[in-house]
Amino acid sequence: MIRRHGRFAHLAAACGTALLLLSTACGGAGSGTSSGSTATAGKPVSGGTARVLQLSEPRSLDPALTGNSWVTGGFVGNALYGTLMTNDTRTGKVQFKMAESFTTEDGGRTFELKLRDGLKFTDGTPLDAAAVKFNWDRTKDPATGSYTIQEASLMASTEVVDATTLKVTMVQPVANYAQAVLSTTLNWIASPKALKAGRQAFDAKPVGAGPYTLKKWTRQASIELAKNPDYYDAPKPYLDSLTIRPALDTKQRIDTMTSGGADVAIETNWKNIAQATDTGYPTVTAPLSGGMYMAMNARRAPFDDVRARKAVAAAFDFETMKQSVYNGEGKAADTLFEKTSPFYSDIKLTQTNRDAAQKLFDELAADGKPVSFTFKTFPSTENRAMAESLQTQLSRFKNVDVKVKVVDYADNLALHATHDFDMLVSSANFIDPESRLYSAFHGESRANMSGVDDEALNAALLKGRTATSTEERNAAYKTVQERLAELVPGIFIGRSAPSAVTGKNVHGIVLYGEGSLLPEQLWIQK
Amino acid sequence: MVLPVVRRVGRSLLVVLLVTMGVTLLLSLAPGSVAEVVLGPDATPETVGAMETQLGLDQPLWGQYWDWLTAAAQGDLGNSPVTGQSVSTAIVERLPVTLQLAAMALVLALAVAVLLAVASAVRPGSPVDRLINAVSSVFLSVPAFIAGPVLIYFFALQLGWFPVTGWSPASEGIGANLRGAVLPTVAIALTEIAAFHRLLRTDLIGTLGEDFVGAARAKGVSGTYVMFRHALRPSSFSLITLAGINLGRLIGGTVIVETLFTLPGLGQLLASAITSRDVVTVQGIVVFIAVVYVMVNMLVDLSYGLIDPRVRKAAKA
Repeated sequence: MIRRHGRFAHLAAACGTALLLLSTACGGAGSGTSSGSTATAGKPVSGGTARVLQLSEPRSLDPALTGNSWVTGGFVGNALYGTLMTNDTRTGKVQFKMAESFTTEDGGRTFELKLRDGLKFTDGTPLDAAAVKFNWDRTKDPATGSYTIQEASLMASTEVVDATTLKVTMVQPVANYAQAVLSTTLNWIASPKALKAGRQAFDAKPVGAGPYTLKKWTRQASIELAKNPDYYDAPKPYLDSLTIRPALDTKQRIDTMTSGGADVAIETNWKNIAQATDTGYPTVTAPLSGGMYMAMNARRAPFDDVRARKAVAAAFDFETMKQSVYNGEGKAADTLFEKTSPFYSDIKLTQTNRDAAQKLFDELAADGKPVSFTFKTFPSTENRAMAESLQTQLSRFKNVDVKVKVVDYADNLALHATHDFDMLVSSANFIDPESRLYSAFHGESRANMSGVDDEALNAALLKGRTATSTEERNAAYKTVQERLAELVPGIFIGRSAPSAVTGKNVHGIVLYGEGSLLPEQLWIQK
Repeated sequence: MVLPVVRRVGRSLLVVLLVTMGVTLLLSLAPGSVAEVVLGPDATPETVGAMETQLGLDQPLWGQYWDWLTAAAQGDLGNSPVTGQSVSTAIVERLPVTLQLAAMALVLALAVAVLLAVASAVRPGSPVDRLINAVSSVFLSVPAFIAGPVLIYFFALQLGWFPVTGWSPASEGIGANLRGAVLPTVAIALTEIAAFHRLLRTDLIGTLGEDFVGAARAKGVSGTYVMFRHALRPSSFSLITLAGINLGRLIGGTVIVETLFTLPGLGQLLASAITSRDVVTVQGIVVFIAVVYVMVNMLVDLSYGLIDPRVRKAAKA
């Protein structure tokens, strides 16, 4: 299952990436949907080096300061620190790794984390309950500056019961908190001793208990990792070493992959995934619900009037945008949940209806509220094209005016605090709706970009968070979908596609959480 | 002799000061702060405010600048609040890549431009000259962000001679290093070749019309000898000046190529520091580039005397 791991991941997703492609075939080796040739895999063999392209570079290797998703530092974090748990991206079922269990007996008010016995960091210190407590408390501390602070702050306190047992008390019941842990950097535990040495020292020599250790980090160029011979889950990892390079540019990434310059590319762009699939490169994609959306700021005019939001949503046509931005590739997010989700229902979030849109624009103009707004967008090719596509589409209508303003990353972060925007691109990607859906649309959430604050929606989101049975959650999320369709806080542009494209001889691709790629299962057929 | 050098150094220091002040001022006008980047979108205004206080960003602008300047004057360029890395270390790590690219591009551009300019100047207006001018115009009108992808398409994707992206340090093998450097070098060098060729061609044509060249020819000296011994050296003043200026510019200006080919140079570092409002890193890089730029230009001035004995004589007189 997939959830949120901080607005950073979603901001990064919206900023640097495009949407995604979901292949239909179910998949051999990986968790997620896959396409391409994976049939000849056979038994994993050890040895070799994989060259991996990732979508960004972490600013630090401190687990609290990066992100656990396909667009951030997921792969590097999994390699250095291993994972407490993972999940199956199709069923959402939690799979325990360095943790043996994470259980609640009281509907999510408290949890007990049980670790494997004998886990050790590569500096020889124990990976025990005290180490987990140190990492989790540190992530929760505002002074750390972790992008996972929202998820960590759901914990009221942590208490070491014994060497392998940690008791977690929640601020409020969160029955599915395991999903929040595994899809964020809470899933990574670093050596407290190494963290205490300070950030520069830690970045030079990060210490975890993962399948790989850092050999060399040349910033903005490459991260070289070597196999950890003491990894708990021998004979994994299969590969002797990994060379990870950032490749932010969409074209550059697919060119490097198809010219043989990489063995694995972590991918997010519809066009690239289609091109890779067409040329026979196997791809695996995590089937996320939600997606990228154009958030309309309900805190101020013109979008404080729901008619304005409905009018723009009705005027928008995803197929037109898909053609102009992604050459016709991509998948619409017309419903909140993917069909594979247990919470899926056929409630359309928005539907194109040009006549209705014009009628609403005219009505608003007659009321002295003409719809005029500025779309603030990231400078990436995709995001600019997206904004310009909406601008072009709305230019056909009367009584509506759209301006496009390009803002950079830092400016965008400031907008999250000031809310000084009419419209901007945000994202809410998840498999399990906890906790991203809550943070994206609850009235009291800081991450609620649209600012909608609806009593029924808030209650349903809270119910979905605290409910323990699937039936109760289903009912709650049905209400959430109905309220979102009624309130139109944003226009969903399309599903995100956390993917991995591999060379034809690369196997063992497994994604978990929010498209986070596991390195220990990768192997190369000789 | 000493006074002019002192004056020049003084002027250079003033240039560096003005450049760093300008950068500080410009970045202060941009929305967003480094504290927001470091703490992320979930940070509360209180934690952002606390970090801004910790970084001294709550002080008046001149106070922030003065603190930075006094530390920089003692060789401390500070630490990046984004990466936690020392700015001096970051510059030292990135410099070899940028320096190698700039130097290779400059050498390549000079070598090609000199040959083309000589070929053009032998018979101005001839078909060869017109062809070279046409090619030069094409080079001049193709910026690196166009040339890069075109080069990648033909030489990396179609022919597979070079990698699409990536950098291998020279310490890990000169072959792999050069293989990764060729396409970026060519992408940078194309416009330089055109600019150098046009300048040198014009100067050469002028020099070849001088009396001393006519006298040499009248003595029966060969055309090649006249071109390379008598005409080329006095024609290369403007070229050397431009090459010096461009070397300084390239050290800070290869950002597009570095981004396009994913090269860990100063340009990429500067670009990422600007977008994350990392003023400390930006100031450190800018002051470094400004110092290099000024020094290169001083060296260029000094080199005139080495190239042309008339300058040495004038200086002695």
